[in-house]
Amino acid sequence: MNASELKGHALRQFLMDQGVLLAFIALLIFLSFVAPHFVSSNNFFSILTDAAPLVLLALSELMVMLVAGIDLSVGAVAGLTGALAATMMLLGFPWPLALFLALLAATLAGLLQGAIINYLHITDFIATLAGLSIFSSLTLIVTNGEPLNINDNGFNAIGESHILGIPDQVWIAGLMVILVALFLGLSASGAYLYAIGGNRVAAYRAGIRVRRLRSLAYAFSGFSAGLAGVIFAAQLATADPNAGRGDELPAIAAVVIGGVYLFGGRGTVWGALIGALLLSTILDGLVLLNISPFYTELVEGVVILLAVMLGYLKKRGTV
Amino acid sequence: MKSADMAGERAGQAPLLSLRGIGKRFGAVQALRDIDLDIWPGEVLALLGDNGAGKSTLVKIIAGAQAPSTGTMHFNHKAVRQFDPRYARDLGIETLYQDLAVAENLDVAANIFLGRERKRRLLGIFPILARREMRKQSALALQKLAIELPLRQPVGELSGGQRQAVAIARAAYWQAKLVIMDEPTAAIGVGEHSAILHLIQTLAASGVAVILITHTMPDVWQVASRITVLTRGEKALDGNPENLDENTVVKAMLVGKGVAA
Ligand SMILES: Nc1ncnc2c1ncn2[C@@H]1O[C@H](COP(=O)(O)OP(=O)(O)OP(=O)(O)O)[C@@H](O)[C@H]1O
Ligand SMILES: [Mg+2]
Repeated sequence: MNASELKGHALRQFLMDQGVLLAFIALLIFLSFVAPHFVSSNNFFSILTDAAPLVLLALSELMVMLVAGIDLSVGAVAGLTGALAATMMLLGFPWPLALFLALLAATLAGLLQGAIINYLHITDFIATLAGLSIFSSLTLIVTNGEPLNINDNGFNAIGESHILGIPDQVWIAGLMVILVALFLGLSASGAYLYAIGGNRVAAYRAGIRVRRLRSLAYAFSGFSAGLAGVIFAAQLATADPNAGRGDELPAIAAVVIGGVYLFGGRGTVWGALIGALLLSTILDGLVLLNISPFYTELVEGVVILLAVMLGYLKKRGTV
Repeated sequence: MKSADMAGERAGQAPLLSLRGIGKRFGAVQALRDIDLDIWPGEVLALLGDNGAGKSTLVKIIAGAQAPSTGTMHFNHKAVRQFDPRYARDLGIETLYQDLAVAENLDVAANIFLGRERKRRLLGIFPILARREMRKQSALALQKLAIELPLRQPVGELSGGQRQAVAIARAAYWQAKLVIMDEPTAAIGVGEHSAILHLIQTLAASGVAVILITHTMPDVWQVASRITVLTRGEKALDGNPENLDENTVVKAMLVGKGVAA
């Protein structure tokens, strides 16, 4: 690759990354014109609030995709986390303890899958597909298939209160975004995730604990998905047995839109964030435009296809 | 320095690396059988053999990337019981693999420091990567070896020879006691080829032991102080290049044991 091709590559990279941002802004403008409610009933924070769970799920996928993995269980883990928290509160646990234990369970669920993938050499796709089934079923077993009401105001406040005028949900997602960005950008372990995704053999020979770090990436994925589940539950003051169902697809779509490479080693927090905001706003837009919910998954499917195709074009352009 | 005077020097000295009865089996394939090998500081040992003879397998064991099925290894007077790349690296063994594993998505500095990053403290507490420092050190290391490379470019966008240079700079930077090079001159240009041979001599002159795997015979007589031939997993020949000619070596590679050294 010569210098001018490289410049072309840098420009394309910029358009690719910032193109998603531009698309997001264009969508906001479009919606404010065609959907009269958009400006009046929605403000900046409500877009962010709606997107918060998807941003957290996108962080999960970002982390595992950087090490050339995938996690199909994030939606199921989110649902299970809400169900566990609600169940524990119904049993009389104080809400901070219930929250802590539910998030711990989510983290362990991720770690378990990571260990199975990396130490037992089960394909990530199969292991997390199994996880998806198992955790969805556990949610139904725990809730008995019924929505569980959450009466604890302390817990429900996560879904409705503000700090410094900013909704708690936005704080949670925002802090996670910043922490992950700092981790990936500044720490040695963050750099190792990129090295593992770039060339696992090279990373191993350089003395990097590949299996351990990949397993921890899945543990993080479980934790972040658990936070999304907490937000789902707090928003509705209910642990819905179907919460999070199918959410792995928009999460994967969000990061792929954001330029995260499906086969590892490339991707940024910024990309995952913008991808999640764009996708979340598209889905909100469908509601605002009174488009039947039957179309939701069709749109998600098309967006995933487009994003993956763009990803391939991008990859072809760089190699 | 040739091995004739080396032999005098090493008389009272213990070897840096010492292998006894090393064997390696992959399922039905006996890749290595009963290998004994000693190597002293400052030596350039040319490890020769036909394709599939077991050269890469042997150096992977020395570098801790694979464990032997049988046999023992001593490094610097100590028995090595742990076959782990991290452990080998901490002992002072640097390896340039035949498949040249580099992280193609990372830049030159990140590859040179991979696994051993320089850190500084953010706000006096949090250990974070000292990227600028690593870039500076990398530039110096490359300069010392007279290698010119774009430092910020992902290694995947460099040529094969440039990637090789990154791997060599990595090995040289860390001041190893033993540097293993598995076909470092394969698939690179003439200029880079002689630069690598020169680099091997520089390393050896500073007391580093080098194991060089190559299929290029002239290189052997140019830089090696010792020749070891593997044939179908067995050591077929071990001698001084001054007392050997190419015919004898090639015959040993094909026929195996029993060729007089
Ligand atoms: N991981 C492995 N699994 C199974 N067999 C292996 C493995 N690694 C090497 N072998 C076998 O061991 C034998 C020796 O291979 P090795 O790579 O050490 O040869 P080599 O001397 O380096 O050859 P070349 O000159 O082609 O690089 C071959 O028969 C090879 O097929
Ligand atoms: Mg080989």
